[in-house]
Amino acid sequence: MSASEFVAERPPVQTDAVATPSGWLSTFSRTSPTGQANRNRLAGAFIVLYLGILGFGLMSHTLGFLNTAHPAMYYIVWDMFCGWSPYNNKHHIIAQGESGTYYDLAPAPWGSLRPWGAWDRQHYDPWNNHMVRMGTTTLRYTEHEPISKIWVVEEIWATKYDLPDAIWNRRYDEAKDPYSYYRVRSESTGDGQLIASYISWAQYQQMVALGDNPRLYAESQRNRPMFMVEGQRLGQDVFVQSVTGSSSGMGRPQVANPLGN
Amino acid sequence: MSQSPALAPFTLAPATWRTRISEFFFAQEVPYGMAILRMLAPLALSGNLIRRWPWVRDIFSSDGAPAPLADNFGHFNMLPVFSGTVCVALYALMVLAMVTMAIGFRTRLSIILFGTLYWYFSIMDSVSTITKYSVILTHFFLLLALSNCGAVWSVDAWLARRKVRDPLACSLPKFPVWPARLVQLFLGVVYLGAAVTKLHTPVFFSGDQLMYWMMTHMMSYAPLGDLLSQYPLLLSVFGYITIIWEVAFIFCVWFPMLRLPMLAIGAIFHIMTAFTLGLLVFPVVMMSSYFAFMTEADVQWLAARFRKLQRRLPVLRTPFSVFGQLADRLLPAESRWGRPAVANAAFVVTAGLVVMAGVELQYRQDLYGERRPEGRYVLQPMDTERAEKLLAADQGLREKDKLMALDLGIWAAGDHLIDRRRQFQHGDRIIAQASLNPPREDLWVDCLLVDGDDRLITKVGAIAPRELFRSHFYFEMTPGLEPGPYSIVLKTSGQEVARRRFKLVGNPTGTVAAN
Repeated sequence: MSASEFVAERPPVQTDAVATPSGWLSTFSRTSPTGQANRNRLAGAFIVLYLGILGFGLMSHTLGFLNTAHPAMYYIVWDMFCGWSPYNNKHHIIAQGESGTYYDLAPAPWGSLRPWGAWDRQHYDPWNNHMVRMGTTTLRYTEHEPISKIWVVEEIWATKYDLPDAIWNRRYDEAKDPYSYYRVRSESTGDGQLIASYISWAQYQQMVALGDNPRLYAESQRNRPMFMVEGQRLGQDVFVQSVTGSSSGMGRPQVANPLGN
Repeated sequence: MSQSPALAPFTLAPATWRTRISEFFFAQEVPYGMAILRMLAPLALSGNLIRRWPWVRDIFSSDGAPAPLADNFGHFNMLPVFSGTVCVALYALMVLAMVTMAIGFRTRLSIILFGTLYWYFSIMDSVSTITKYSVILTHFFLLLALSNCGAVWSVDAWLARRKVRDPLACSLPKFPVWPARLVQLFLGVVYLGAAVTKLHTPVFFSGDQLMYWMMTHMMSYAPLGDLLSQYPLLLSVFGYITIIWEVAFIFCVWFPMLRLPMLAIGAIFHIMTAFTLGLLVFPVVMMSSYFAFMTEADVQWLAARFRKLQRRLPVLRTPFSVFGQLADRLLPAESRWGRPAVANAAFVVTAGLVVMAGVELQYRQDLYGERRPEGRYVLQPMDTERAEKLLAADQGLREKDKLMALDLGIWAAGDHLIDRRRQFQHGDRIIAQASLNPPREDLWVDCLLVDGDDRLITKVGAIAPRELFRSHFYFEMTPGLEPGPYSIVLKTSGQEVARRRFKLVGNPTGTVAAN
C-alpha cells in the first residue's frame, strides 16, 4: 500500500477546528458544501484583492507613480538595493551648553543599540528625521547645564579607505590616507526645536559640481526665484526633505538601506 | 521530488482556464510547506528580537526616541506611541507569541498576535528595526494567519490527535492551497520588483553599485565582499545573472522541471548576500519562504526515504519514540489538561506571567540609570577642538578622494580591466584605467608615463565628465623603451593623485636573442 493510498483510506481527524458551528457561522462551515463554497468565494475575493494590491505596488514602483505617497506604500514597493555611494557616512549629535562647553549626545551614556553591525543606531538615519529626538532623549535622562543648541553633523569619508590593508596594499602603491569631511545637517534649540536644516554632503557636492560650470551657474543666478517655494515640507518637529537626486540613485544616501540585515 | 499536478496551471491539459485556476488555488493538500514557514520565520527573526529587548524603551516608546516610519513620509502621529511600560509588556507578549507560533500552540491566535505586534514595533522604528524583510515577513504572517498551518507539526495538531483512540483511524487534514499559492506569487512579485529597482539603477549593470556596497561595513562584516569588490567585471556578470533569474522566477517556478533549479539558484543568491554584503536575516527569511513550494507529495517522498533510512539505521528511530513516549506520559490521552479550554487558559496565564516578568526585568534593568545609587548619569564634555572640527565650514573635496583607483592592464571587457598587471613586455599596449568617484565636477585628467628616475616619457590627457566612472589612457610599449621600472602617474588639477609602478621586460630591439 502506498503512502497516499494509506492516507486516503483513513477518515479525517475530528478536531474542534472542524466541528460544525451553529448560527451565522454555519454559513462558512467547512463541513457543509454551502459553507465550503462560501469560504471559497470569500477566499477568491481575498486572492483578487491581495494580488491587485501587489500588482498596484509593482506598477507604482515601475512607473514611479504614488510610490512614496503613503507609509503603506513601503509595504508593497520592492525597492531593495536602491542606494549606493562611493562615500561612507556616520552621524554625530552635538550639544553646546550655555557655558560654551560641547557635549556628544550619541551614543548616550547608557549605550546604544547596534542594530545591523558595529555601528550605533544614529548612523542609520541618513535623512536626519529622528536624530534630534535621540539627542533630546540623552539630555532628558542626564544631568547637565542648560543647553543652548544641538547640531546634527554628518561625517563622510571615501569608502575605498575601508578596504582591509591586505587588499589595499595589493592594489594601491600609496599608503592609506583616510580623511573625514563634516557637514552640519541641522541646528536645533536646546529642547529640540528645529532652527535650520541643510542638504546632505552628497547633494551639496552635486551642487558644487554643477556650480563649477560658469555658464550654468550664471544662468541659475539670473533666473533664481525671489522666494523658495518648494523642496522642503515642515513637519511638527522635523523637516522631511523631498526626494531628489539623480536617476542612478547615486544621490541617495547609502546607509539605512531598506534591505537591512 | 515528485510534483503535484496542481502546481502547474499553464499545462496544455484539456481543461478550461477557470478550472485550472480553481485547481491552482483550491486544490486540497496537507499544509506542510506553510507549517515549515510557520516554524522558520519566527526563528529567523528571533535573534534580532532578542537583541532589541534591552532597548525596547529607548527605540519604541515615548520614554525614548522612537522613529516612526510614517514621519519619514510626512504623516505625523499616524500611530500611537506607547509609554515604556506598555511597550515592554507588548514586546514580551510578542516574544511569547513568537515561541508559541513556532511550536504551533494556539497557532492562529499566536500568529495574529505576533504578526500584529511585530508590524507595530517595526513600523515604530524606521531607523533600526524596519527593513524590507520586516515587510516581507508581515506579508507572510498575514498569509499564515489565513492558512491552516497549525494543522500539522504543531502542538495543536498533537493535542487534537490525542483524542482519537485509534491512531490508524486518523488522517492529516487537507485544506485549500491558496495561502501557499499567495506566498509563492508574492515571492515572484518581490523578485520582479527587485528587478525593476535594478533596471532603474544603470550602474548596477556596470558592477559599480555592488562594488561600492561590498566595500562598506555598515552591515555585518563580510570579508568576501571586500575581496569581490576588487573584481567589478565579475560583479557585472553576477548582476546580469541576478536580474535574469529575478524576472524569470515568477514565470518558471511553476514548471515541475524548473522548480528546484529556480529555488536552488535563489538559495545560492541569498547565501552569497550573507558572505558578500553582510546580510544575515534577509537570506534566512527568503529561504524559509521557499518551503511554501513544498507539496504534500514532496513530503511523502521524503518521508518514505526517511523511513527507509530508519530501517537501515534504527538509532534514528530512538529520538522520535522517546519523544512520543515522554509526551504521552506527561500528558496522557485521557488527561483533562489537553482540552482546548485548558490550553486556552494555559496560554492566557503564561502570557500574563511573561508580561509581568518582562516588565519587572525592564524595571530592574533601569536603562536610563534613574534609580542608580550614584544618581543619574552626568553628561560628559567632549573635546572642544574635536567639536569645532565637526562644526567647521564645508571643506573642499581632496583631489585624491575623487579617484577610486588607478589600474594597469592590457585587456578590458565591459569597461573594466580583466588583468591588472605590474609587468609588461615590449609590444604590449598598456591600458591605464582611472576609476573615478562621483559626485565630482568635470575634470581634466593628465596621465603620465615616467621612467624609474621620474623622467617624463610621454603624457596624455582627457576630459572626464562628471557622469563618467572610468577614463582610459593607452600607452604603447615600443621597442625603443629600455627594459626596467616605469610608473604611470595620474594628475588632476595639477596634483598627483595616484601612481602605479610597473616593470617593462624583454628585448628593446624586439629581436630574439640567440644563445
